[in-house]
Amino acid sequence: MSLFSLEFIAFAGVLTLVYFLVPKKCQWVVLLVASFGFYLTGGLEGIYFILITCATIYVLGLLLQRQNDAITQALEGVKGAKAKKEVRARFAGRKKLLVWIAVLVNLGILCFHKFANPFIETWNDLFGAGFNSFDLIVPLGLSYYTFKSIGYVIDVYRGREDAERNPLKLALYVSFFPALFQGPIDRYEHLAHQLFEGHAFSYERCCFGAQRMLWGYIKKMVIADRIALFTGEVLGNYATEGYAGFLLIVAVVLYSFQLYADFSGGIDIVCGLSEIFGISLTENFRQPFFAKSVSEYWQRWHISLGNWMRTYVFYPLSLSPRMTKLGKWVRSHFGEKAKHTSRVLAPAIASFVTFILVGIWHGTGWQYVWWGFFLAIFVSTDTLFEEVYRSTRAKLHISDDAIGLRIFQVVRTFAIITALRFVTLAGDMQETATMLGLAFGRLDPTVLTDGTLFTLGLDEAEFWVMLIGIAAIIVVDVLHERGVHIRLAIARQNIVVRWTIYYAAIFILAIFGVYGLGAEGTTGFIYQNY
Amino acid sequence: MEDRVLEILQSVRDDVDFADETALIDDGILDSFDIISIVAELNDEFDIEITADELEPENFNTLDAIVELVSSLS
Repeated sequence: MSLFSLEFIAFAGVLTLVYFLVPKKCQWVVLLVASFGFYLTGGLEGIYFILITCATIYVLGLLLQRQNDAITQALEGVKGAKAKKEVRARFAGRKKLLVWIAVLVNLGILCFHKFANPFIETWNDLFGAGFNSFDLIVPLGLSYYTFKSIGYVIDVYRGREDAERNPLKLALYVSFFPALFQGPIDRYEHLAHQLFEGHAFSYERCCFGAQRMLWGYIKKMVIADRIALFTGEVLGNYATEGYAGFLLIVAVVLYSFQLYADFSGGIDIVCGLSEIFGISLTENFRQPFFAKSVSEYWQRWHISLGNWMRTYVFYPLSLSPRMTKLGKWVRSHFGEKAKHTSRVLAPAIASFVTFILVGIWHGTGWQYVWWGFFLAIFVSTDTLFEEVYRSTRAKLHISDDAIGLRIFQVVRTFAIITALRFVTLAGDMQETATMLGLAFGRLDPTVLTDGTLFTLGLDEAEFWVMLIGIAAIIVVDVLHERGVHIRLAIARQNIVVRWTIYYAAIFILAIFGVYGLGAEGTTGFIYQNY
Repeated sequence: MEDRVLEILQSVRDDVDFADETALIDDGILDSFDIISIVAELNDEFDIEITADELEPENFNTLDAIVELVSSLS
């Protein structure tokens, strides 16, 4: 069921009605039935895998809990950090075994769906073998619920969470349907209690949720899908139609906005729907295009994935014994002069591993590995050369708070992030080089003014609607950056102004929404495929 | 101990007022590279082992929380 279908709107409406009509203690059951019902509308194939995930994390979570309880019992009366550490060490092996089983089973399902066929194709190409590909349909939300589930098990392993004893409640945490499309990857401690506790109906919350859904639909259907008509034409046909120079550059810049409108629009829809139920999902975006560095960008873009990677990959790697030894070795061999380097070397290496994993999460080709690698270069050099940057600014008498510096940093970050799109948009690195050559080798500014732009999927009027849409996204982000709560500001207006805004939004969606794009357009999100 | 912890924090980020900040992580004042640097220094200085399990916002949001974490592991 598509988020844009009338069936979904009807489904959400009926669900809201039932959710607030049943006793509060039964509301979570309604969400569970709705989530699995929703999942079944996509076919039976995926249901087995989500059930395997629910079963493994339930059983292994309980087994880990048993170990944690035994540790608590064994620690009674033990004093001193070292003695306590020894007690914990007695249980460490069993706990590690349990958590690794949960991680490997669930990661195995994810990797099988993502990499089995590309691996077979590569193997056949390299060795001339004739292995048949698997007939695979990637279950809806596989990578999102897998990451949530692995996070839950690791949190139980760390003793941060008590294992959930009700398998149906755990199944709801895994399968909560709004988060299946493209996340967010909510941590158990943030989402679970909200799902299980009862919520009274709130008119204000309902209005806020509906407003956010409407804005999400506008972002997706009016802005992202309109940009897609242009970027699809230019980026899809540049090789055959000879699109080059500024046309390619404009298309890649617009693609950055398309991706943002598409992804954040979808997140707005599911966050708005959840808000109606009284459930606050983790925010996935915080004005990413205002980031002053690539590392800050990743604290503002796809925040829940960044948090997950930081908590479960980056930190454990950075603090692993080998990394700690490496930092000490650098300092012992190069002295106090290398103090800064010795501190940031381990996290810099860990950031390479983390970002390459982020790259692989986005796609299976080598270009995604390269994309992650390039991101890591920018993230780690931000920190490794921090001292150099700081002293350079001091020499040039540029204040850290200077508005000019901030604008430069924001534009530079956007340029880097957008330039790296050339890596993922191309099929391989050779194609990336070809694209870059075409884009920057034939810079003819006349294509920007001679009307060529209005012949590539969008006519002049449509092109202007797209630009106004992008401007609207930027204005909203500027207001959010300044701490303005837009929906609250609208709610404070009188009824005439309020409803004029609502009708205008519905009118914009109905008139300017792009309908009927098929599989690549209004029926799906770009991030739904990850 | 608090003074020495403060010294370490300031050696990593001399532009932050650690005594007054109450949301070092939640407000994004310290990034993940800062955290790892601080942990490496604390582990060395106090001969403790802060692991990834302890790297949660509530343990690093304030100077007091960091001191408490170090105390609990010493």
